Amino acid sequence: MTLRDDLNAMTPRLRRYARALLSGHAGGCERADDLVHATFMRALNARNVGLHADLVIRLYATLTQLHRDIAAPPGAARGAALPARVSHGSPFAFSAVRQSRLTIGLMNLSLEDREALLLVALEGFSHEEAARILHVTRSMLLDRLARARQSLDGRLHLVAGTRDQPMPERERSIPHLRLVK
Amino acid sequence: MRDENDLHRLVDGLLDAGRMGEVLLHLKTNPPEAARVAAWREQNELLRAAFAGVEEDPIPTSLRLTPLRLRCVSDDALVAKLPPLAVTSLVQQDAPDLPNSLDQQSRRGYGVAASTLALVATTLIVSWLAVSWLAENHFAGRSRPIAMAAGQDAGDPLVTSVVDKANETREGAAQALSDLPTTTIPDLGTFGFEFTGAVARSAPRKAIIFSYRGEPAVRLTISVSRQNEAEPGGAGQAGAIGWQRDGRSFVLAGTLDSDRLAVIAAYIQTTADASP
Repeated sequence: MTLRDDLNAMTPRLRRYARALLSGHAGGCERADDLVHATFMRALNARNVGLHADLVIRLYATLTQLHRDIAAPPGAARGAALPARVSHGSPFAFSAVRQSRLTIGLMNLSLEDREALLLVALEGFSHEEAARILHVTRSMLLDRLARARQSLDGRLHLVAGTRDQPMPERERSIPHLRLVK
Repeated sequence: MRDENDLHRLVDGLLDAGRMGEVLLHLKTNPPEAARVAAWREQNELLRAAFAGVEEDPIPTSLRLTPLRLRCVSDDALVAKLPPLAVTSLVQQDAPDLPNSLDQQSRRGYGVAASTLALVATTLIVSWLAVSWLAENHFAGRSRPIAMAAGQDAGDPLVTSVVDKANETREGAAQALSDLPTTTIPDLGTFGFEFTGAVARSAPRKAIIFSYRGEPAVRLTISVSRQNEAEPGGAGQAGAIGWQRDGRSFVLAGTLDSDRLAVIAAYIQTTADASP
């Protein structure tokens, strides 16, 4: 396997992570692909990018850093479209309302908390691996993870007895979201 | 004593078996925390479901790390467009020990390069052959100068490469030349005449004619033919002087007075080569 083969194999995962990072941002899909492309270019130009697990860690770390570099300042325009398609046919199909809540919840997380949650919950990294990617200690990662989950809990209303309640009026009034089927 | 981090490890599947039982027992006796764990698990499922479609999306071209031009050419297109020689060379470019798809792409690239080179080489060879054929079979009878090249000096060796002016064809010239006598070109520079060319004529008789030009606007020709085909004494040409020598018949004519023409004729008779 050459480096290019490894990178090609990593493309779907990196795209998923990049899109999740850019959830709710205008042009998120295109920007996500740009991020992945820039990550690949960095890897190809690097003298030693590591192999296998090290390569994966390094690619995610590079993409995370690139995203931080280009991340819009607080208050910038957000939310032209949902970041991903709703998988109606999957076992985990969920309603558009909950999809919107998830997107809004991700948008409202701080960048550091979002990175921690996505690396662990979406990408399946261990806490140690996620800490390496983010260049933080494991305890700091767990702190970020706890904050993210608590914040998202309130947004998704998944706590028992509240998950099927309608979306609060403040969230329903957000005008820029639309469902991409 | 419960560590909240254990709950995160439990949700993320990272809790070791030794702690698993203790944490699960704790959750049984603590419904609010059990609900939090359940909610976090559902968060994970929601996130994975929300972005599950991304992995199924087609990869854009910009993210495929293989050279574009290699991907744009299919094997079928190559086979269809290239001659057999090029296709053979493409197959021969396959190298062993290239295990993965990227190397297969590279091999395909080598094949494209080799096929392109073979195509260019074939084109050059065909062009060269075509030019050679045209030069030999088409332009030969038309583009070669009818007379000898201008500037050919008098006194050159035997004249053997002239073209039949009457027929202006390769066949006619060859036939005319086959029966023409050979002789050197007389040098008339002593008399102020410049050699301008030689032509072969098949009618009314086979002859080779040397032309000269002098000042002011004086023309002079020497016609040489085999003796049995010549008209004695240059009959038919006003003011011409004729003579025969070694089986060849010479006729000297020109736009100059007869006395001077006679002097030139005498000069040629004494200086022209005697070989037949």
